[in-house]
Amino acid sequence: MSSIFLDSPVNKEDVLHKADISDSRQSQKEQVIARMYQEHRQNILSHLLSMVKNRDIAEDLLQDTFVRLSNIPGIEVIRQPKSFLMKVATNLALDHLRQQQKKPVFETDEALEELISPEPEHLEEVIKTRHLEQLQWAISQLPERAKEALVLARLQEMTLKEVAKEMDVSQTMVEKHLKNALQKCRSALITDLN
Amino acid sequence: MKTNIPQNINNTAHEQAQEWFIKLQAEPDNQPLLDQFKQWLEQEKEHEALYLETCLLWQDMGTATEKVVSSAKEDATKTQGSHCKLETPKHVPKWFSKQRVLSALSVTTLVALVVALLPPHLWYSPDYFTTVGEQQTIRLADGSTLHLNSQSAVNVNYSDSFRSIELLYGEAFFEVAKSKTQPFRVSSQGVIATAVGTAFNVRQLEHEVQTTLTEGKLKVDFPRHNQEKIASLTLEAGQGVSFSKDTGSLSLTKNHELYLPDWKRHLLRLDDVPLSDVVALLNRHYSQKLVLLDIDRRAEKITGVIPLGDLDLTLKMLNKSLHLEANTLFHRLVLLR
Repeated sequence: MSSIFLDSPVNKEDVLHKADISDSRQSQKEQVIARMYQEHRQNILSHLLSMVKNRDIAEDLLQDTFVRLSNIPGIEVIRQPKSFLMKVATNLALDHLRQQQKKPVFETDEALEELISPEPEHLEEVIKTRHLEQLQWAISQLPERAKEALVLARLQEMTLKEVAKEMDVSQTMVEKHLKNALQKCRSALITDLN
Repeated sequence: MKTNIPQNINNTAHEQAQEWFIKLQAEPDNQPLLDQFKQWLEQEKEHEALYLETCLLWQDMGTATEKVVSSAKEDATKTQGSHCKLETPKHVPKWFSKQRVLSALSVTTLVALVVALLPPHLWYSPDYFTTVGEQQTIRLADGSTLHLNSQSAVNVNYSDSFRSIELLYGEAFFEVAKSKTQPFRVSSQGVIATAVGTAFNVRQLEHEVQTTLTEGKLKVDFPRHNQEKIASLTLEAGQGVSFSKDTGSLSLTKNHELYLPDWKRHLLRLDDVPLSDVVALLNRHYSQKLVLLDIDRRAEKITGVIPLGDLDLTLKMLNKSLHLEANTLFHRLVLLR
């Protein structure tokens, strides 16, 4: 519903003008993201279009991709975001396609055939599903407290400070839990690959 | 600000990347930390890739965590009918992030509007919900099945002596597992439907609550209106009842012989439904926002069947049968007049 507002293209002048006025760090970040948007928008959009084959949806996913990007801590000093952006966009498109398959829609026969026909995305999707299963397994094996920290930080989008307060532990402890979670998840994926 | 810089010599580069990720997450506005991070990135060519790999992992972990939490929640409902402590509405983080990017992109004047348009599950925080265009089937602990139509939400509360479900908004179809000791009760804005073993559908509209029964028997209680006693009646299969929230009046409908409600068959059936409600119902299904410009026609009653799932087709039908002309703006907003 509110995507109508997100849909309005990022206005370069607006963003840059605002950045000129204040020299704060926040605007530096905005500036960096706006630049990345200008630079990579077209590539990512056509990649998304090739996957979802619908302009509106592709535009939506493009916005989502940059939302994800803007949530990356320290993004302002990253110099080569392109492959990251591509991966995020691919993930979002796969999620979208999977949802489409689950939901029976009023389709024409052609569209249905397209859905069934083996496409390159299919393999990617299989890999991604496997990947997710591994992560789920790793997360379910985590100690309860680490799991709790992860849920609060990742799903409730709390800051680490808020997580520490909620769990009544030090922030260092929260950081340890999260690092443990990251490590376990990574090694689960790597073990699976071997 | 003094911080421990994650550069323990014994750590591998990917561990350092993980530590940086967490440190920066903890203090995103710490400029000296950021400068040091930049130095670390420049140290080795692979550092940036490793860091971004960690960011991707973190994102995937979000999806995986959601699944772990929701399956833990299912287990909890199955075993004892209580809810898992960490209930996490599926889409909340995404919406929050959208808001963030809005401000990040300096569209501040629109933020107030966006808040007003946030999906309702944000303030209800229900046990189960669907967003626009999404439908879900949920197997409950007692073997009953709950089908949620688009943009709908329920809370589930089971105990030894009753099974209680609250329809917060939207529409749901229930297939109730038989149990003599635990009546199955669905409340929707004061209207309470009680079943033993049956299948029925409840739909909330702006001014009405509609209850339709497709199998078994169902007792329906209505809230007190103007000092009257609480009204109640028993529906037979194939009957439905609409309760008007404004006047308290009831109207019976018949011929709901098919087991599945229309929406499960991807149809929107309308029996004398005001045009404003028709638009609201369509808005539950389509991500595009439909707006009825002609205020005089809001109350106009509509009867008919509209296929769902294809907006163009729906709009064509509206145009043909009701002479409503559709204008689409920014691919998102459909103005009807």
